[in-house]
Amino acid sequence: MAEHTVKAFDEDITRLRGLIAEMGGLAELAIQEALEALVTGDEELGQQVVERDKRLDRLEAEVDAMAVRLLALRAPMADDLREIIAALKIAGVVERIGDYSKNIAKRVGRIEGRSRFEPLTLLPAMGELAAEMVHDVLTAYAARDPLMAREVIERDAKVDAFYDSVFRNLVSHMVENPATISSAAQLLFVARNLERIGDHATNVAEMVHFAALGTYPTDIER
Amino acid sequence: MSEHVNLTRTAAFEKRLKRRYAAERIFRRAGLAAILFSIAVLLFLLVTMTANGIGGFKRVTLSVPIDFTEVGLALPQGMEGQGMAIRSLESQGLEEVVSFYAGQAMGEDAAAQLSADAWRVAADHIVEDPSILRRRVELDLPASEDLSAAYAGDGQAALQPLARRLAEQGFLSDSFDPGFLSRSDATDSQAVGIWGALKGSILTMLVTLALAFPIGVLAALYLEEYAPRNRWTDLIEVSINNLAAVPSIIFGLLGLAVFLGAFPYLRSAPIIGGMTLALMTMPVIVISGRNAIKAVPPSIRDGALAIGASPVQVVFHHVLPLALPGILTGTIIGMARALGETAPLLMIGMRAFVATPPDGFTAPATVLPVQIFLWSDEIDRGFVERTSAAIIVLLLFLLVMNGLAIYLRNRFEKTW
Amino acid sequence: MVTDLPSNAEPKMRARDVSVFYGDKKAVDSVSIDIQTEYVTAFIGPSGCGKSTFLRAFNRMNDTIGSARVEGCIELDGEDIYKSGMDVVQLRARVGMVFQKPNPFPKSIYENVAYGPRIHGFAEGKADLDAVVERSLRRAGLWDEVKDRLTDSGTALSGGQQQRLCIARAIAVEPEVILMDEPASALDPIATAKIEELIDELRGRYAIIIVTHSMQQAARVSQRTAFFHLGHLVEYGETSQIFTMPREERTKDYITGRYG
Repeated sequence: MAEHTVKAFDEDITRLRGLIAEMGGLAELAIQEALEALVTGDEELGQQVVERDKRLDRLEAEVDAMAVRLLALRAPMADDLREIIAALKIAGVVERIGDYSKNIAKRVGRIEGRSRFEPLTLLPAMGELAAEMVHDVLTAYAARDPLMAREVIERDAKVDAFYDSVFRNLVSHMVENPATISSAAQLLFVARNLERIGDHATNVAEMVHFAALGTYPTDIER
Repeated sequence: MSEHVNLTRTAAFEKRLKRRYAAERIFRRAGLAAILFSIAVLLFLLVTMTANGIGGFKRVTLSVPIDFTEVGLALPQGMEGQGMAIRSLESQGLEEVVSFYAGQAMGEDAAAQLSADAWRVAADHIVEDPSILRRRVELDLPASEDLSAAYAGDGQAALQPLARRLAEQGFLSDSFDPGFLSRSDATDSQAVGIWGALKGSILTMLVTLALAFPIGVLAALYLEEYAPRNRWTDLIEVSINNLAAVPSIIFGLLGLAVFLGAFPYLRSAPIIGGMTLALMTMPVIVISGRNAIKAVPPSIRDGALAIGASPVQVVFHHVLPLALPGILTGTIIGMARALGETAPLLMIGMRAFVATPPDGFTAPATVLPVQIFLWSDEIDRGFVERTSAAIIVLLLFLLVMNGLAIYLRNRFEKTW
Repeated sequence: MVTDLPSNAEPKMRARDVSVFYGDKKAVDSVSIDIQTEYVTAFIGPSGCGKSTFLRAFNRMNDTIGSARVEGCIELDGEDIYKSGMDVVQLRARVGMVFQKPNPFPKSIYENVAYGPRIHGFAEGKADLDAVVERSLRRAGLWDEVKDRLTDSGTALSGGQQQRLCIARAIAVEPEVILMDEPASALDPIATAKIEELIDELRGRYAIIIVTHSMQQAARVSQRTAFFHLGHLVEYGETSQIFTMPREERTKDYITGRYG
């Protein structure tokens, strides 16, 4: 794609994209570390995840400010305009993804008797799927690739299926071991958060599609 | 930024700067000197002309006391025309009457020095105021050329004592002569007037203006607005530019060959003179007209065209009013040159001695510059002052013409 | 923003395969476009792309340039304006033009507006002419500012007022189409905004075509936009679509500032 005649505009766009990429990286890391802390019971790690979420919030504010500035000063048109609007919305969504990870990390201390929990072993795999979705959709954003974005949307079905199976597993566990209900309930919330992360990743994918083509993908079952 | 050399602080720069200021000063002073020199020359011309010419407006007169009650001259009733009244008085012997009384008052030798036209002046007074015939009056009648020369200290030595005596006695004096402006050419310097030539100039200028202005302006409009840009129009442009530089005597030859060839009986008429001068003036008007029209911005034309004005409307409603100041300036220049032209008019015969002012465009006439030329040829000292006076009249005429044109130009001056 | 409905009416002016030559140089290459009265149509494009030349073909102002030649067909209400026998003077009363630099006549404000109706014979008598002048100045949004000084010179007004006077002058002959060649490019932002508001008010009554260098102005003022490049019409469509989702790569490059 050709460069803008006014080079500073290109620099601004690059910086905007960099911010989104940084947010994405942080969100991905947060998912992975939150689950690791959950599985190993590492409360310190969990605390780190909670702390680091503040950085994500700050980055979102920065993206907001930069987007407004670019809209006012550069009067962007066509795909530049769509990209900036998309960046604005994506930043908000990624920030919420970070919040979900923070939520997961907060529950680390509330799980008891982790070695006996079978469902606990399912969650890392689900988390990995979600983290991959986040990683891939932000790669699609950087590449302005709508096809990649569509592919991410399709993957959400797998996360949903995972959630269903974890849900059933935990419910039956709770029925068999009523003493573990409070811990199991926590894990339910964790699974729920991961499923929500997957949904948000598809939101980002839709915005990537819009930035590239100007329309939303309407024909994909979610 | 710190490596930036301050170029305005070096010694070499200071020296160059001094030189530039010096050049400015020299140029200003040279311009001022040029203007002062021109003004000095102009003042010299005006002062010299005025000094020489002021005497030309005066006339040496003898004061003759006439008692008409004794004489019994009468103006017959019903004499309408001035000419007929004068002839009647002449046949009644007015000339002898004047001569007689002059001799009685001043002596026979003084009476002999009355101008040949003196009785006519008396007749004019009588026609103007017939009551004179019933009174005793003192008339200032023109003296002869010789006596007036003697009065001025030139001419025949023999007349000088007579002149001195008459002056001391109060009979002979020098006074302002308004008749100079209403009389025509004559052989006697005391009797000449400029009106004949002045009227001839006016008539000739009218013909020149009437021919050169419309043709010149229309030609300029056509060449600028309608003519296509090709080799032919370039040729026409070059030809017109050259015409403006052709010596005026060539136009005289042209007038002689063509106009007088066609109308030989109109020799020295203002209409022929006017046509010849129009040929000469037209290129000037065309050139300045074209420049003035070119200077009208195309945005005015575009605006008029876009509104649906036809090309003729664009030209006459918009272009011409804006170009008029420039056209008038060119016309002033052309007409001023035409007014002072002598050579071409000499060629077509306006060099004759014309004693009466022309009564129309086809009557024989002469013009101011030619009159000046003819008078300057005369040997009589009296004509020297008349010549300078005629030059003053010519300059005043020029001033009036220019003033009128400048007034018109300022009236039409508009900014766009 | 006013919603506009798709037009089923016959186009007011229609250009078919129009090419304009200056001598041997082709400035406009085979352009076809329909102009509706309901929409303001904007012509945008880089310098030298032929948009002004094409605009001037609509009222045959190119005729004033000796070397200009027009091929193809431009119709006004179905009638080819380049056919022999077409009265150019009358055409220009039906298709008016406003220029980039305001060019009021060096006459009074009243005379500026009254000149057109007078030479075309649209008004009979002074009362009629007064009414035409007032109506035109009102429609151009200038009446209140000049009604007490109609005899002042038109050139004594400010730039923005002069341009509105030129618009009033164009309106006074009751045209059907108004062509505007960068009408606000010489004006300050406030005067520009007034002109743009005026264009909005005139929309629908006259078919307006505006050539502009400013994409923001085209976006603000028009409902249809045509993008020109090197004499070709590259893309033509709804203004909102051109500026948010242009179909052609060249259009996108130009409007996002990637051109050149």
